[in-house]
Amino acid sequence: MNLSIGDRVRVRAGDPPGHIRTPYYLRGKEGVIVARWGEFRNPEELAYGKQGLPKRTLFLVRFRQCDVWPDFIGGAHDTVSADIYDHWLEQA
Amino acid sequence: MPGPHDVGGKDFGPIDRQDHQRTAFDTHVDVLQQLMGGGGARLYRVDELRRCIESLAPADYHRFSYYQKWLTAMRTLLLEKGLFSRQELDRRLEHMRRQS
Repeated sequence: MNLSIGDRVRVRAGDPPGHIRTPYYLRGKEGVIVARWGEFRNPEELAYGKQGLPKRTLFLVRFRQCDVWPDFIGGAHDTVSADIYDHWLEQA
Repeated sequence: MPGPHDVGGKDFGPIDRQDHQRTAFDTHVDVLQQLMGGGGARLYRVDELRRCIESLAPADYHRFSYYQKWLTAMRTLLLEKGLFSRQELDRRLEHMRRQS
């Protein structure tokens, strides 16, 4: 899967066991890729002493607050951004 | 279920913005971590340390100080990797208790 800046993405909704770097409150939410930080060894595997290969691409994803919190009362332009690895993202 | 560290969206009230005083214990743990971790003997990776911190029982996670979390995670990793056994650790602690 080739994701790039500007793509609309959905965070995987799963709750797998293990060491997870994707915040729980963003799972299943839709946002937009705003930066591509590069490729890094997968920290979810490094956390168990493995090599973390193949490397994963890390993106900055921006979410509208009103898409994240059902009871959000702030402005429609308020956003929250998070670093998320590509294996947690799918095209929305 | 998310671990005790994964708190986005939960209400913990206002943030305590007071500066914390670094204790001798804090410095001791920090030095141990520098000697054993990626910048030193590389006994474990920082990702492993983080996994063990985030695997603490929720009650311990909320009760422990920052460096207590580190120290507990470092102990978990050294046991995991077999650098010493639980029995060896217990014996040593007992020895130190008798000396103090």
